[in-house]
Amino acid sequence: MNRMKSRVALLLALILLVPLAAWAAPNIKLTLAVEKEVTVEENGQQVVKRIEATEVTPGETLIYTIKFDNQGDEKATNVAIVDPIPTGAGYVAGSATAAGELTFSIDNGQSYKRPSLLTYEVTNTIGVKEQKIATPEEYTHIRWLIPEIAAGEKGAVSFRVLMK
Amino acid sequence: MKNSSIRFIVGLLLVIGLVAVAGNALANVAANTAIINQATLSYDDGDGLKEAIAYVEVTVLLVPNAPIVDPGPDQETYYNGPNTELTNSFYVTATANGPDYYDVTTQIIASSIDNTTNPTATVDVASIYLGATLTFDDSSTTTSIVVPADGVADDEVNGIEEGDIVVIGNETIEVASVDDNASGTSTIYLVTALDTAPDAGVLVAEKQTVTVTVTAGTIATIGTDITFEKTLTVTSQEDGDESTTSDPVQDTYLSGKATLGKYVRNVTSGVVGDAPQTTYDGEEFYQSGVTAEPGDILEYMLVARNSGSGPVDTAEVNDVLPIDFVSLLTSVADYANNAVLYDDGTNTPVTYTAAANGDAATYVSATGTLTVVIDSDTTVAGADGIIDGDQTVFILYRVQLNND
Repeated sequence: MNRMKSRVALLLALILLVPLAAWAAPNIKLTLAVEKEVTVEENGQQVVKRIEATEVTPGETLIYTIKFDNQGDEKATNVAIVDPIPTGAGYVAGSATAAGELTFSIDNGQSYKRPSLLTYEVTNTIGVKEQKIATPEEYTHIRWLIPEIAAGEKGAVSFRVLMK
Repeated sequence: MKNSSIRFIVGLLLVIGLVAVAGNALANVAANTAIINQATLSYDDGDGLKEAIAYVEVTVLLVPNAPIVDPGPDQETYYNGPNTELTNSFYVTATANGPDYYDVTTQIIASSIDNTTNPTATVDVASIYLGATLTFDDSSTTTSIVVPADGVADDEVNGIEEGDIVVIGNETIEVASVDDNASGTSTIYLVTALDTAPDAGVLVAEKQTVTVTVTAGTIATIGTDITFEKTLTVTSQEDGDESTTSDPVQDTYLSGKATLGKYVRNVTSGVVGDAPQTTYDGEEFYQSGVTAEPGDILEYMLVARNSGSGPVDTAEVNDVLPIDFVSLLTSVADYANNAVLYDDGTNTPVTYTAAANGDAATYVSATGTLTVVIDSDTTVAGADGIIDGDQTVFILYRVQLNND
């Protein structure tokens, strides 16, 4: 009789454990903020502060910050963060924070490469085709590839653009 | 006439391929554009690929800018009193990235005023509203211009609507219609095709004509032209520092001044009068010193001259003959048997009768009054009463001294 009870208990435990294993998963929350820097006077000194940018004047620099938070109980793998460079803005060279593998696109997100490999073909004034390295202003997308984000891990990446 | 936000879902537009491809110049951005930037995070949760999305919005502000103000051509007319008007045109083109109101004022340059007092200049509008936007990408054609939508579908985008004149690149063209969407992009259709389809970020700027009406003021010296210059200043209401004053435009009022001289010669005796004399058709005429005896024939010449540059009008000459002493010869062989010879200065004279028969000369024998209506051009039918600027006309008639 006791043996029978033990088997039933084991079976119940297995039944309960299977769904529990299925529920364990990463759950990443994403937030995106845009700010700009303003100079204010505090205690007689000029201080540069970041403020939320709801409006922008052409010629100003915007700072986009993407925050992630894995609220799940498992790690996320093969993480890719992709953000388009706003039309009418140019990526500010060197402004992206380093995280994982940082690459850029000049073809609307179809392919990503490191800056030195971002080239395209042009025909010069005498009809000869040349390879040109894209300038940061020509980037259309930015992408970070992060191998994994552990459960409970938070982080952020950011980049700047100059509004034309 | 609105100031609405324009919403772009950048990510979406990128997906549908409306964004400039690499190698094209990046666009400037029109005012009121709301850019929604969408970031995507994808990851493997062990059961497949998952995505998290976040977006943020920024509205692009107007950057006021001094407009282009091109003056029209200098103007001139004939002075016909202090209120004689001239109309000047100025062409104002926006250069800002969005619509703006502009104050418009005109100024007469005091140092330029010549030969008049109190001329006036009045602009036809106190302010103007100029629409402006920029091409969104390189999907525009020569007849359809793609620009950011302005959030309200009301047939105008950033102040540009049907019938407006816009400058795109270096081409000026009329707007046929606007397909104005609430979001995404709007399309401006043109009446005629541009030479070249614009790239991304090209300004689409409204151009308007401002009219300034001037009056001559009171002329100082008749027969001398009036001149003065004026400018037009156009100032952004959004930023008063953004202001343009045009190059000056000159207005000229041509002034006419008529003088009349009377000369005589003795046809019968050919007596020489006092100097100075003047000559017509080889004959010498004098202002004084000519003597005559009863029965002699005298030939009078009236010389009407406009020494100014503008015409004088309603001009006629009335000469009252001393009928107690002379009689008008109404049939002179040298005048084709008529009474008056008239030369408009071209040395191709015509003749008129003394009768009131509709030609330019009439003689009233009871009073001895000979009236000749001036004609600036005898090749055109009917005397116009005008002496053009720098024109001299000649009127000749003959009388015979009575014998007693």
